[in-house]
Amino acid sequence: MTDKELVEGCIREDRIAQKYLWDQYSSKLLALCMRYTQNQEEAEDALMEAYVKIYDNMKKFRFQSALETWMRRICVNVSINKLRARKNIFNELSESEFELGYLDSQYNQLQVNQIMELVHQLPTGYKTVFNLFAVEGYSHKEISKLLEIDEGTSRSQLAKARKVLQEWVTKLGLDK
Amino acid sequence: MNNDPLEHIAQTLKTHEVSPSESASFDEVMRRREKRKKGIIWWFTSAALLLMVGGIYFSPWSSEEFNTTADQKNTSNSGTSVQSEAYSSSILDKKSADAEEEIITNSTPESQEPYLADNDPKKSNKKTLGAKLFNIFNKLRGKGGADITPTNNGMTRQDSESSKFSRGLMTTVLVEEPALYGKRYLEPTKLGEPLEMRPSDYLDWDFSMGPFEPHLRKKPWYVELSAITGSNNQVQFNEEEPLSVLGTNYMAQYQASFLTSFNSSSAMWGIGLHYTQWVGNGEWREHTKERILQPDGTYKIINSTTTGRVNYSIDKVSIPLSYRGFARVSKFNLRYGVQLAPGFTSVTEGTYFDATSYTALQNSRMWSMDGKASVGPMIQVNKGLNVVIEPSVMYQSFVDQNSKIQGNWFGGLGVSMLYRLR
Repeated sequence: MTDKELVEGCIREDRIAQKYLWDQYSSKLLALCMRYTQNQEEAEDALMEAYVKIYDNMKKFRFQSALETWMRRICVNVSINKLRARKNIFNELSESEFELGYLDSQYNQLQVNQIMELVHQLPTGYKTVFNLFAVEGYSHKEISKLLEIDEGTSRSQLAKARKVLQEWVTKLGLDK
Repeated sequence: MNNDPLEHIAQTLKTHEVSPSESASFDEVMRRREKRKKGIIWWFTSAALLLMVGGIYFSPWSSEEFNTTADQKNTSNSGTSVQSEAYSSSILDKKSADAEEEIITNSTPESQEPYLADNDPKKSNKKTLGAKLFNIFNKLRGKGGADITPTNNGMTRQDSESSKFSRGLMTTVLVEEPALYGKRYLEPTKLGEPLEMRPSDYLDWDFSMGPFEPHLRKKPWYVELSAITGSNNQVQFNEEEPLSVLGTNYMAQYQASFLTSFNSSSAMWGIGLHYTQWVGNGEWREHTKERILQPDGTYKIINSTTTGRVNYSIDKVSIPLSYRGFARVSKFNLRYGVQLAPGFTSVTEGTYFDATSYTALQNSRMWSMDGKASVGPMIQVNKGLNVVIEPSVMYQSFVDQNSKIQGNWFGGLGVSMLYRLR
């Protein structure tokens, strides 16, 4: 089923198309939500909320980007909203006391779950900006709009996240 | 293999997939959609019901009016003269009493319908739906809607009580509508206060009034359309506060209300519907000390100032309960008013802020409450239309997702058009 058929099916409220959309993308989008939320339960809640929005707003999809990109954007927005509702993303900065854990694995042997675990140990602000910029490909301008911060703040958060991750990699000797 | 570890981390995360657990399923998503749709329908239905109940409650078919007309009808059917004590206590001569009786009798010939102004039974039937609705509502609020229900023989169920009421009520007619008696000989006086006249005061009265239908003056009803805007600025100068927000809040409100006057005063009260848009823009500034863990296990402390923008948008739908009063200062008519408007939010977006904190708003329906006090000049445009310019003070509030009441005071200016319906 092509994206166009999927979109048209969802607009017609065709259950088969809607189910196909869920089966096709829910795993990828859940992983995305998990990067912004605290746990899988919260991520699944965000995923389902995002899917409700996707189905409800399918008429507004104009094929100006790939369907997956559009859906990822919705998931990011819902996840960020959840994050903001829970507490302010940047409040943690003043209290941030974090220590990255040690891993026995070599860099090239790192499992994705371990990477997820380590990224989750970053302060929320660092983690969010890192995910948006490095993983989702948002620009600092877009991040500043989405998180309602200055572009400078976004850049500094990313730099700090990079620095902490780099130190962690160096510390573990994984860069060799 | 990617040699940049950070790039490797990003790439790994990008391709990562996690299967949803059983609790997160397609069926659950569909169930949520249905629930959301039902929620929207429920809100609209509730709002419509509330408006309908409010409309019926404040309907111009007041129970007093029905009782009055029924009583007067009974009186005329039984052939008793409908006179106030002022009239019947040998003050008026027979001519005037006969004339009065004739007037009443003529106006209510053989009709058995307890509706005074309707001689035509077909016309009476047109009122049946409203009357029935009002009867139902009267029963609910215990004001004796059954009192005005006609029986098979056309008499109301409180025939024996009718004359008792008719005196007082007829006096009201005389006091409120002296013009009904041809000339304004009778000055308004208090209810029940006896009128003392000498024969010379009334012997030359002209009672040839022509055909007319006596009726109680109905309470006037007004519709009011308003647009109000307001703003406030906030700033935090206390350096002890780690977080300060400099911002401006704006609000605009559009309101439609139905108002009616109290029995004998010019004050009004009413109910309506209003829609409020409330937005804020600001910049937060936070001074922090960051502790960064160094690879050697020590912490580096960095003093930093973080700034960012906050803005929010809240739309609300509320039901204002309004009171309006009038005063005259020199040559100017002034209107003052207060209102309280419970409601709910229809849109909540962004990050709400006050001078020392901000809270991300969840996009959900929340309870809200507004209050407004205003006073301003009222300008008459024509017989039915007045324009009021109202400087006002408003308080807008809502209950956020953490059950905390968030609110702001606004100073504003509004323009209202007050139109008399009848």
